[in-house]
Amino acid sequence: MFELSIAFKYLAPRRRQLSVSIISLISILVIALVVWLIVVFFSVTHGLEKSWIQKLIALTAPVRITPTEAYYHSYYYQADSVSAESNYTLKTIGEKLIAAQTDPYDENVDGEPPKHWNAPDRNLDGSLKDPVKLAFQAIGSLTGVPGLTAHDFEMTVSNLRLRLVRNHAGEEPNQAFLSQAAYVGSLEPDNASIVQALLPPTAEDLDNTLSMLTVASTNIQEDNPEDLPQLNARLAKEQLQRFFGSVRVKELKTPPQGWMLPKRLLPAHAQFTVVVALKNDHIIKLIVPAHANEAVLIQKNLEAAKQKTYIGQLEIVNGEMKLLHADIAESLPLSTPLVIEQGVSFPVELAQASLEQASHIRDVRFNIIFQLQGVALKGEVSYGHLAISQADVMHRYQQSPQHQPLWTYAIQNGKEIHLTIPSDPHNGDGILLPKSFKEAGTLMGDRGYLSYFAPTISSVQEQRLPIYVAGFYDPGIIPIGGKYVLATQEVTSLIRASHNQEDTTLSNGINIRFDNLEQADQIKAELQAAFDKAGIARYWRIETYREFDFTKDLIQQLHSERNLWTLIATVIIIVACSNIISMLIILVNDKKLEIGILRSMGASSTSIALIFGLCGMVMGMVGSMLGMSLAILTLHNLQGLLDLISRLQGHQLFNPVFYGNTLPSEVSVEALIFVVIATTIISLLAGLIPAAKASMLKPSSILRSE
Amino acid sequence: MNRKIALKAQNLHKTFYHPIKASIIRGIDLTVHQGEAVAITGRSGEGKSTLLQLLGALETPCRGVLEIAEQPVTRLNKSKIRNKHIGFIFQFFHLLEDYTALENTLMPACIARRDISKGSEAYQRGQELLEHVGLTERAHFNAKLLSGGEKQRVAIARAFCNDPDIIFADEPSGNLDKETAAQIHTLLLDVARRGNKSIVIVTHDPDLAGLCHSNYILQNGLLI
Repeated sequence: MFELSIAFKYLAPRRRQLSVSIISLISILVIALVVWLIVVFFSVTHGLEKSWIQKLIALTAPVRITPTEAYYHSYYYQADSVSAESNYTLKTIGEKLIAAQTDPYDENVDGEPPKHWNAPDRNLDGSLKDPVKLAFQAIGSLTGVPGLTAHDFEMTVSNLRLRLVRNHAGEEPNQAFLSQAAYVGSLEPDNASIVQALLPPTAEDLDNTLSMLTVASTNIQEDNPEDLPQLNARLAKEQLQRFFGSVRVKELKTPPQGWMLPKRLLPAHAQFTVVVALKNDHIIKLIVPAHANEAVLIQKNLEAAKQKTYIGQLEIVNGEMKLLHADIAESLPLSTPLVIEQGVSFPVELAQASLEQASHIRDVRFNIIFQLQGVALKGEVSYGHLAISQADVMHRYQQSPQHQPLWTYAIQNGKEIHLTIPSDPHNGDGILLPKSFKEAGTLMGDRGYLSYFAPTISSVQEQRLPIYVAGFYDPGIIPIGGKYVLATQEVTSLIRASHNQEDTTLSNGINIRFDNLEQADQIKAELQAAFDKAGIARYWRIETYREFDFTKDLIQQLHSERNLWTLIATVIIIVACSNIISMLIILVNDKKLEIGILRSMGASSTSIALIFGLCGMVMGMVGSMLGMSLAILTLHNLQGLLDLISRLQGHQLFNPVFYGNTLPSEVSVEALIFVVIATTIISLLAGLIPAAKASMLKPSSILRSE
Repeated sequence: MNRKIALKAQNLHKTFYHPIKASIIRGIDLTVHQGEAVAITGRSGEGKSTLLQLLGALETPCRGVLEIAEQPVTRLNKSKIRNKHIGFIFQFFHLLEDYTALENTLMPACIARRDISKGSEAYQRGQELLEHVGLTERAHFNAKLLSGGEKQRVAIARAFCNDPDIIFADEPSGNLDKETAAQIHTLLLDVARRGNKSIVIVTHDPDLAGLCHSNYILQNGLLI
């Protein structure tokens, strides 16, 4: 290929062709810059889009099958309501799936079905067609879909009311009610994306769970704040053992108003720097800072609150307390309270023996070993007024736990995952709340009820289903996410049974999940074909995540944004590559004579065009390679770069609320392919114009003009 | 003796329309046999170079037929014929400046897509040719660094690279001093004779014209 060799000779920078060299360098740099920008931008937006879609469909599914009107009007669906076999109750899809008989109607026992019903849809052999079982069969027969699972789901609406009981020691007990209309959806136990989205219990959650643990639910459904009765000793003991069976408390901390240090923890001889608080010249308490040098700060804070104080030394000799201040030693009565300031945490270990005996949280004791101003405190303290500051919480297991936790937990066995929302005879059924509730002050362990209205013969009755908060999850950006409560299928079934089932299309259906989202359309098409073949197509509507009511708009928006950006990127690449045209035209003029010589030696005009076309393409490719390497380098160090920019401008560059805590930094292969193809084609096209000019030069006129 | 005909031109015409209409060549017939050396002389501006380009298939005649190595020249096979059957030598040498003497010599082979890697047949031929023109030591010099005479010798070697049937030389010594010119003349004709090549030379130099088998004068667009 002499064309290639000549093209390279032309591109190699040379002093004689300074203008050509500079222009070609600039065009390569501009292309590199554009490629860098496009690859970085596309990789980040692509990653964001992917994670958004993942979050978007965490609650729904990539493909969802819902019953059509034809299903609800079918004999198959309605037959249950007139059959003794089915207890005269309609069945959900899940119940239909496990029903023993497709046609529960028995003419010997049951009354005649109404005349206006549609005729039964029968198979050739006369048996009733079973759309639910056939649908699941069709799903099961799909092949080549990794991670395929299918679950029926139920969704309903209910009013959620939570009673937030906050008993901070030293403060008035405080109760608030939180009421909200909510969607209640059934949790699919093997939905891995929900497992990802679960928020682990925090220390406050544990404290709240613990304090609500022994509260009986007898009047928790009342709307007026009343004292809450405690469980009896035996039940309380069981609850405590269950709690501590799944939590290992590692650190406790002192509450906001400080913590009265039990004197029995003190050694026989010790010395502390203390802040002495006075009232009417009487010592009311001694505040012991965690470190002696913090005394001044504490004093300052107290004096700001108009408390008279001074700093002294407390000496304990043989259990006697003596206060040294300004060279005066003063004996103190043993009853003088010693208080440790707020927010001091110390390592503890549960005293197992106390748990065996405990029938109230008060009775649970912890062993503490703590250095207070260099003095070792040792002994048992009761949980009493302290708060948990650090704990190991079990919420992921390899096998079924011995003590079922009070919060949502996952059992992972290899690739299989099983999620459980526990229910509790005393607390009610557990529910999973979206994290917006947490931000509004709800804590794990809060109790309340779901209310719904059930029609009876004479009236509509409000039903209340006791529940407690068994965890929080991140619903992602689905528009209804803030109101989407997850509960067990029993809970959703119960509430849904009281509603008119045809109300909304989303009330019942089958969620199909699989690993690779790209397969959604293919799966939909395959299922449609299978349903057509089984003759059940009219009972079902198959939708991919792009078509759901809740998500359609967002996904379409994401899609059109991507198209728009692709268009803009193409335009930018064209602009960048147009530099190549001017550079090559200069080059052609420079090399006219050589073109003539090559032609005289028999090089065809195509060869000449190829030389300059190659020049353009090589420049485009070098530029895009350079840009891509820069982009990959940038993406590898993306977080550091963002931190730097954030520091420079003084606030976060990307709000974590929208973009998550870390931007995706995976290089998008699609973006790379797009850029490589686009720059190569466009630079080749850009090279074609000068190449055409070069190939149309007549050798005779070039050579004659010399 | 029935010698092969290297070039046969019949009734060639060439008229330029820009800037004014000028009929430069008005019906030329020329036959050059294998191994024959032909000199064309004439006054400046008579169209000697144009005639040479017409004969060398660089320029398309307005009328007339041209056959090179017994093949009619058409628009489609022009490049190939130039590459395979014709060698050009120009007054201003016209070497490719970015290449060495040897690379310049091998360029026609390269364009013919022959293998020119070290040790290949074409490579050896290139070195042989450089040896003929006495430039073996200069083979790997950049063309820029050679003197005028050396450049023209490289150009001669290049013209013979693809073993053509006919060589066209346009004032091959017009840019050289007398002594060098004489050397070039002898060399050119010598190399042509050795390969039994035909050669058509356009020149002002009566010495060179005298060395050729036949002489023509271009006058008023016709060969006399």
